[in-house]
Amino acid sequence: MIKLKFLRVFAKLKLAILFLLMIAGFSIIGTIIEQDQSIDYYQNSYSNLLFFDKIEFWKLLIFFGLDHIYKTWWFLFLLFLFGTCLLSCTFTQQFPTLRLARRCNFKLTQKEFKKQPYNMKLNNLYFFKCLKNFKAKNYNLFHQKNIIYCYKGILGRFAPIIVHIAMLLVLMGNTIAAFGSFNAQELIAKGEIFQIQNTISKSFFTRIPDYPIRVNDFWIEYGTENNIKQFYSNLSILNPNGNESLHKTISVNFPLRFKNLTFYQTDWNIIGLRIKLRNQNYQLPLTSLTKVKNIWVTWIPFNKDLGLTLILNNFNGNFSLYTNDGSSLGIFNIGDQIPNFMELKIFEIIYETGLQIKADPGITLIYFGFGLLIVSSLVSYFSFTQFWLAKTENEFFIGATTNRAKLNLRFEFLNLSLPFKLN
Amino acid sequence: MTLWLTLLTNPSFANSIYLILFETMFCYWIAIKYPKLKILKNLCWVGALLSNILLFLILASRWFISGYFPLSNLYESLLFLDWCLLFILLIIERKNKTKLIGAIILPVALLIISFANLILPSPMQSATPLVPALQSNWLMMHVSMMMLSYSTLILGSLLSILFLVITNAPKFNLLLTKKNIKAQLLENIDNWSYRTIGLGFPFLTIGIIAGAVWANEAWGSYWSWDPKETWALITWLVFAAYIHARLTQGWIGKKAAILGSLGFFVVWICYLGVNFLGQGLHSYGFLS
Repeated sequence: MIKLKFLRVFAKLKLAILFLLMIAGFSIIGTIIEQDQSIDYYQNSYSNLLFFDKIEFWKLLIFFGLDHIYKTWWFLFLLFLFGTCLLSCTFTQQFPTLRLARRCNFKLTQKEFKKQPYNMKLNNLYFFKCLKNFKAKNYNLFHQKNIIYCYKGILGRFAPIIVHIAMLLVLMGNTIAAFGSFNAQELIAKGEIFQIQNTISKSFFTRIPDYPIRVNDFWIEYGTENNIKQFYSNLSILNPNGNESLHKTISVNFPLRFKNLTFYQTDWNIIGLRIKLRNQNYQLPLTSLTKVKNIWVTWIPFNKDLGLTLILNNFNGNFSLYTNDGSSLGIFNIGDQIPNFMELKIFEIIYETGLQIKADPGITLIYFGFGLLIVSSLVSYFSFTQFWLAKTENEFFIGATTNRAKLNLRFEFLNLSLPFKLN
Repeated sequence: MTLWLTLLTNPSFANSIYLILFETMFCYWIAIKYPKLKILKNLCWVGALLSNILLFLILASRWFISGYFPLSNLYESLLFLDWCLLFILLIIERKNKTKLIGAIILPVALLIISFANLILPSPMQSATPLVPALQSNWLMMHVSMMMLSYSTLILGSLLSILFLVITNAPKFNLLLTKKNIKAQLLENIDNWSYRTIGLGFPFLTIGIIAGAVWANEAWGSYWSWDPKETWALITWLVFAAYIHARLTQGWIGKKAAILGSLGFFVVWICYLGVNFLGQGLHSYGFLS
């Protein structure tokens, strides 16, 4: 009993709404202040903002964790409190109403009828005639001597309970994910074998699988307007002996699932060139410019201070070459022989594919919760309508109420009762 | 066939919708003042229906030409939002005789179409190839559900605003001469607002869930606190508060209407305002 009392505190709707609006409010802060930036960034952006001429805003910002608001302990605690509200509301408010609803709810006295939003006195003679109309409108009727109870749209009464349960399932799935999930990002050059190493987030209990994975191939598909249409990576998952246990091509939106892992195509990069110079093969690194997207640069040295600058700025495999003094040699294709330059030939661009690897033990529960939420929130739109009828020796009362569609009920009530009205 | 397609995708064709909506808006307004003029009512209906069909044709031809669901940029989503608003209006008109709902939807529809056609720069109006991340069937589900929920919620919260305007404006007596008629009208608006928001809320829920599932299929995280996502959550929370206040707390009338009209601004911030705040996953490539 003490436990229930404790829960009742959280079952108060006003508290739940307060939490809802608080979560909404703090979330707004997170969309205004740029998240997950370096301290320098905040120092520069808010350098002029002072409180009481003393306290610098950016220090407060860092202190309260506003730079990563959605991961701060107090925000998570707020979510936890909200979850508690949801849980206690489901157990102390919704389940009892469920039990009540199963009981037939008869009303007898005039006083009870007067309380209903729609009520009327009808002609005593028509008590049973009236029932036919309720049947025709698909009401469920319960009859006991001279009292009748009928209702429609009971699903609309239960669905909100399912909505809450579904949300609890999603929150539970989230909590499970905190035990045993991980997220890793790997940039792997074509042809290489790797193991998952670069984990971005990982929970305390996570064991990261150690089987090797090979990137067999990576390629880009282009559309008609020279736009990137799709990225593909061909992956092989190997067992410890080096034999292939799964082989699949993934692309954006089409990940690979293997045991509890999912492999996503998320990124790509160009890291180098393979060139041929004086009958020798070399591999040169390419660097991308930080301020401009999709431009890569390298320098092909012939000797200590003579060489060519190479700029790659499109995906078609053609590039431009510049001499030391900055004059252009023109645009060439991969595999072209560059004239006059020691039989220079650039024969391959080395791509690497960006993979995201994830394990999430909570996802089944979350998806189940999502499905339940979709159905139950739609069903919640139905209105739960109740009618009571009671006949005493010389009077006949009718009363009605609904939880949502009040206007419809007004018409329905008048439709059902006006013809029998007591003059 | 090609002639038709070039005609349909021509910007001046969309401008004709602008003119029709403009005309229809005045029809609705005058129809409120003179509710007995039958020709006005017919004009309202024809105008709304015609612009709805034209919008559908524009979007359909875009779909036909580009080969993917025409909801990939801001322009198309604005047209679709307009289509949804008019579609809801048509459904309501069939069930309900009031011209009031049309009179408040039409100005919004007109503003949306003029923003799409006149303010949005023309490169942003043309269809561009889809980037790999958008090539998914979830695009259709997610975006169409979101737009449908935005339009329903916009209407619901507009009704809340209308409620506040009528209660607070003493001179609002276009046709409301008797006091009990005003009370009746307010009760109607109150319940329409509640029922419309009640429908928009599950749509929003489905839209957000579709987005979460899609994100999990595309890059492995169903929630990443991207500004747009966060604002969609804020919208959801505000309307959840509204629905709970009404259903469980028994709020009606003014109190509920204040919360409902707050939702109007939140929806617009979520749809367009977030893109002013900064770049995220949901950038429209505008104002950057």
